[in-house]
Amino acid sequence: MKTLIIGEVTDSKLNSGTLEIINKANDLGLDFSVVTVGSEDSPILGSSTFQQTYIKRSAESLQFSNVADKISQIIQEQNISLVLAPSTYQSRDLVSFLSVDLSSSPVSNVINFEIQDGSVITTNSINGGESIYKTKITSSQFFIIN
Amino acid sequence: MGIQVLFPQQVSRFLKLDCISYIKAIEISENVILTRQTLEGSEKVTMPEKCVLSVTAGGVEPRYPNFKDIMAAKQKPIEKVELSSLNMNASQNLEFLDIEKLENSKNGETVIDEGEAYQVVIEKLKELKVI
Repeated sequence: MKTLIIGEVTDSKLNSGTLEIINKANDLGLDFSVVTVGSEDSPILGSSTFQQTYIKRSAESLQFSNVADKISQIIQEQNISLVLAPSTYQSRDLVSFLSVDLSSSPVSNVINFEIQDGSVITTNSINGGESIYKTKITSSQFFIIN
Repeated sequence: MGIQVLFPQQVSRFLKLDCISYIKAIEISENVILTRQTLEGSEKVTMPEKCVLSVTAGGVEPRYPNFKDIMAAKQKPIEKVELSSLNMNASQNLEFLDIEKLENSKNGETVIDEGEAYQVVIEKLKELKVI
């Protein structure tokens, strides 16, 4: 399953939420690449084990519409079927925009997910963590916010 | 709408408008200045002429309608819009599988720390192969 991880840069490095998702993708043996977004000129990024693209957004920009345009283009060019993003302000904006571009419902508040027979099954926390529920994503493109 | 919600951003994308999300304060002077929550803290931006705003739970105080306003609202016409008239894909692409309530368990081990409790933590970490 071709996967794109939308990462974030904090203090010139990949932040912890991004690293957790990369670790999960490795555990599941997903074929993934990473797109990171930040406003810094030269963050410390890069890996020999996966392809990585850094999108430097304008610090003057009010929102992430232009960044979403670029990521949407990458998703379509690379035939990405699963998009993973950390649960942050920036990622929530980006995933919302991408879900409209690609007509797919994003699944947020995901605490775990698995791949079963080519389908993505998510586990979500609700009611302040008092209950969990599971859903199966049936669209051709999946958006998950961990 | 609060941080968990993705809806305002989606609306702005449909309408091809800017979305200023996670607003926690609004100041109105010559311009409208919005204070927006970010990963690092917050930033102030000037509101564009047309945009979609989303506010965090603590960013606004709700104004509850009084009885007179509630009655007046009932007289207002409500425009009904058919989903099919909107240029959007509204098909369901999530299948609900299961829901489970998490129980709080009182079972567990209580350790009274008399200066040696760290040893218990170390043993637990060894059991879990963390160290």
